[in-house]
Amino acid sequence: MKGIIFNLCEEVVATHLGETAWDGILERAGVDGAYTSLGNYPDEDFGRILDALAMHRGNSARDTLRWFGHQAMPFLAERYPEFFTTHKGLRPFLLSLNDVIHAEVRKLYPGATVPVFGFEVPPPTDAGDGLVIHYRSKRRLCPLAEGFIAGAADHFRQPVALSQRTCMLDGAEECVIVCDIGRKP
Amino acid sequence: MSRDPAVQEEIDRWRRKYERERKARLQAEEIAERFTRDALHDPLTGLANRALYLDRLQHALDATGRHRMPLATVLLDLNGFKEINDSFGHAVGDELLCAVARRLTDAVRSIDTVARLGGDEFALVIEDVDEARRELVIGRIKHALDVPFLLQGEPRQITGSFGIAFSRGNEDTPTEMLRRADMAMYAAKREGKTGHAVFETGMHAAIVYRLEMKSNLQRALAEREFRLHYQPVVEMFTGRITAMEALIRWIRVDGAVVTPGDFIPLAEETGLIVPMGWWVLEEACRQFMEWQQAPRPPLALHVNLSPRQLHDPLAAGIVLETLGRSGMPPDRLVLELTETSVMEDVASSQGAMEKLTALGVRMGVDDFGTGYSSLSYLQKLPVTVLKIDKSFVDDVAVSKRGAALVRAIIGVGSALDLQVVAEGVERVEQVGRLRALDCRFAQGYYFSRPLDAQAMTEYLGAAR
Repeated sequence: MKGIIFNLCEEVVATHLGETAWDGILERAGVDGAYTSLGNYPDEDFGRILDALAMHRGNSARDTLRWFGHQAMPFLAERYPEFFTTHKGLRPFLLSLNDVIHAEVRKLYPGATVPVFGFEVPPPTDAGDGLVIHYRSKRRLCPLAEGFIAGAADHFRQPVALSQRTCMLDGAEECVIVCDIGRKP
Repeated sequence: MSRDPAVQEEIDRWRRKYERERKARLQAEEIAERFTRDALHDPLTGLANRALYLDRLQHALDATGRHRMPLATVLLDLNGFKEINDSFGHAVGDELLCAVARRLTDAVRSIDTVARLGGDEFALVIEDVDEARRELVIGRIKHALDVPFLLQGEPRQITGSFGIAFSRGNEDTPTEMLRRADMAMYAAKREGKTGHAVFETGMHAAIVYRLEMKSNLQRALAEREFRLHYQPVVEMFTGRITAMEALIRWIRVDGAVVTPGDFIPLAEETGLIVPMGWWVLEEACRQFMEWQQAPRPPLALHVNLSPRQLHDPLAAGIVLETLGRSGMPPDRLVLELTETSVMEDVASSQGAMEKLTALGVRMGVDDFGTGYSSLSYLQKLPVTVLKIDKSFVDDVAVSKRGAALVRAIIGVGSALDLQVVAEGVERVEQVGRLRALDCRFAQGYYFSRPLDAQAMTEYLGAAR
């Protein structure tokens, strides 16, 4: 796992749970805690931090991961505005993940393993646009993806309703995330 | 004095935070350093890569311009590296590259640059090389490869081709310097397998000429601009023609004749000699059988075989097919190899020659005496014809030593029951001496120059 995720996590925790919280979480997780964005760290470290964070919040790891993704989005948008400003809305932004964003991420962070998404684009309805995202990854971090999507929706000021048709965490082969994207107000 | 526990906790927390940040910063520095390194160095050998090499060369050239001290760019290409990779595997090949990298680095000063440009190609920038130091510098770099390398515990001699270019003044650019060194390396490769060459102005023109010749050769082969001439081999005591040697001639569309010396080496180098050589065999056999239609004592046909043809895995098959198509009796065909080409690798030559003699054809050694001959090979190889090189024949009537050498060769030949042919006989005195030395066969302008097929037909008619 790239250090950038750990850094984002620290920023989110410090902002929403207070400066002292991160220190306590690291201690509880029993990890070294020195992360630099370009470094590579064991996935296990992230798992332990996540568990400690879930315990701190009194929530499940799944919810915590979704929360983290959601809250991390503004920090990502601040660090990498060019990934966001080029898109008019959530759907084109999400559709650029594989070809543009993740390609750039690999340049910025050599050695990064990024998920490749599959997309289904249903025809638009009166209510808005739909998008079905297929996610497969050994890391099984679909709640993080959901959180990121929700965070991106906030960024573009579009309502989004997310549901999962199938989920790897429930033993499915892949996660199928259905996004119902509402129109901009 | 004891502190308030809450204050102490806050201090500890900040201390931990500070420590984490310090560690992260160290990691970041290390990563940044690695990125820079990766971008500018060859990951295998740790030497500078092409980007860094060009940068250093530019800096060195700038300094040269200011202080007027010439610098040298050296390009080195290992000979036979591909074979090593193929036969020992890439891991051993990589190990060798690292060992070469270390040797080169040790051979130069720390201010000089050693780079790996890719594959088995290395490049150096040697600064401050005035006239007096040139030989010394070249020698040091060349000697870096002298001691055999250990490949899987076995010592193995590795050679390289070095191309060297010295800077000349303000007009030098890194690209231009590399281009010159590259041309010199090309010359070094051509002139011998262990050599080095220093760039000279004429090299560019020579390379352009060779490239043109190469494409001309390909075209000539496709458009059948080659012709065969035939030179008789005669029995010295009777003057009777016993064989003829097929010799290739290149007559261009404009009628200009290119001498074999001008295109055979290039054909050898480019591999075009293989299709060319097989064409010669085909055409000579066809023509020979046409001559054999007329009633006359049986002759033999000598055809030159290049080393590349000899080692062509299809050689025996091609010869067999050609014999079949033309109806040529195998024992009338003598395939001539030069002594030097046989000596390059006696063991594998022997194997390849035996495959051919198994078909019934005979083998001859051309230019005998010019290679660094070990007489023992004559015993090992399935050879029946020995041709004494013209340089010995030239001296046979001039000096006692010349005559003695020819006598010795004839002696060896007849002891081994070989047919000995004196090549390049031009003057009557030579004929007299050769007869006196009991040399039975000869070939040369004295008897006949090489003739085209038409003239040869007439010659044969007259000789009948």
